[in-house]
Amino acid sequence: MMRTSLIRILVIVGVAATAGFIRARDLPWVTDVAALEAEEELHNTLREGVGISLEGMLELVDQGAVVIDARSREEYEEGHLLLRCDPAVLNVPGDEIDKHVTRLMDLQGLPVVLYCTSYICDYAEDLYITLEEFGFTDIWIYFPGWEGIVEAGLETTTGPDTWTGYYDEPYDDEANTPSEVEP
Amino acid sequence: MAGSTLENPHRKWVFFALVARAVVGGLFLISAYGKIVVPELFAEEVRAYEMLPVVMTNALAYFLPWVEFFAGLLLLIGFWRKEARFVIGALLIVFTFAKAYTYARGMDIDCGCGGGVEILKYIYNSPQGIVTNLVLLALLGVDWRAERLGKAAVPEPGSGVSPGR
Repeated sequence: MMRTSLIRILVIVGVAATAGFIRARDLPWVTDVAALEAEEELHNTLREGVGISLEGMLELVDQGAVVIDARSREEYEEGHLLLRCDPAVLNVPGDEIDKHVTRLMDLQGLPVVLYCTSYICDYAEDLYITLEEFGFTDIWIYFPGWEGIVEAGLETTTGPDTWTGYYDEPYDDEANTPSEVEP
Repeated sequence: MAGSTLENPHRKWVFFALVARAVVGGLFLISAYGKIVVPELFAEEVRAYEMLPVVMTNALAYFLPWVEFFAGLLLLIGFWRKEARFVIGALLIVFTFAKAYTYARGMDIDCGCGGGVEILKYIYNSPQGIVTNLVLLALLGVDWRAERLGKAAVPEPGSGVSPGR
C-alpha cells in the first residue's frame, strides 16, 4: 500500500517536472547568479540616485515635467495617474520601449518622471536606461509607483494613452510596430 | 431507505469532503496557473524569500507550479486522492513555514499566485497567507477524516458486518 502511494507521488512529481520542462521558454533552468547580481547592483544604484518622492514628482510636474507610466498597456488603461496637463501621463510599457522612441524624442530636454507598479517592478528602471541612452538627462523614478499613487489618494483616470494618437488605431501585432499617428 | 444497511451513515462527511476538495483543489489550480503563466515573476518571488540557493530558483519556478497543478487537479477529481492530499499537505506545510519565517523577519512578499484575482492575492499574502494555509490544511483533514469513515463504512467481503456499524 505504502509502495503504491510512493510510486503515485513520484509519478505526480515526474509528470510535473516534464510539464515544466516542456513549458520552459526564455527563463534559463539554471539561474544566472552573476547577471542577477549585476542587475541588482544597477537597481540599487538607481534607487539611491534617481528616486523621487511623491511631493518631488508633483513639484516637477508643475515645472513642466513629463510623467511616464511604464506598466503594460492593459494596466495603464485600467487606471493611471490623472494630470491636467499636456502631455498627460504617457504609457510606455517597459518591454516595448523601442516602439515608442520616435514620439519620446519630441520630449527631449524636459524633465521626466517614471513610475511602474511598485518597488518590485523593474520596467521604470529599464526605461530609465533607454532614455539615458537617447540623450535624456533629467530623469527621475517614483519607486512606490502605481501602488504609491493609489495609496496617496491622488486623482486617477482610465483609458488609453492618446497623446500623438498613439493608441487611436488598433495595435498591429504582426507588423510589430505601433500604428502611430503624427500629432 | 431509512434503516437500510446500505445507507451511508457518513453522508454528511462525504459532502464536507467534496466541498473541502473543491476549495483546496480549486485554489491550488488557480494559484498554479498564476505561477505557470509568469514563471519569471514567481522565480523573483522565490528569490525574495531568501531561503534557497539562488541558482535553483528558476528551476523551482518551472517545476513547483506544475506539482501544485497536478496535485490540485487530482484532489479535485478525487483520483489518487490520498497521494494528492499528501503532496498538497506537504506543500502547505512548507509554504506556511516560509511565510511565517519571512513575516517574522518583517518581509512583505507578494506570492503572485492569485492569477490576477485580487481577493486571492489578498488571502495568499502574509500574514493572511499563513491563516489561509492553515485553513486549507484543516480542509485536507476533513477530507482525510471523510475518507477514513467511508472506508470504515464498507464491510470486508464475507465479514457479515453491516456497513457503518
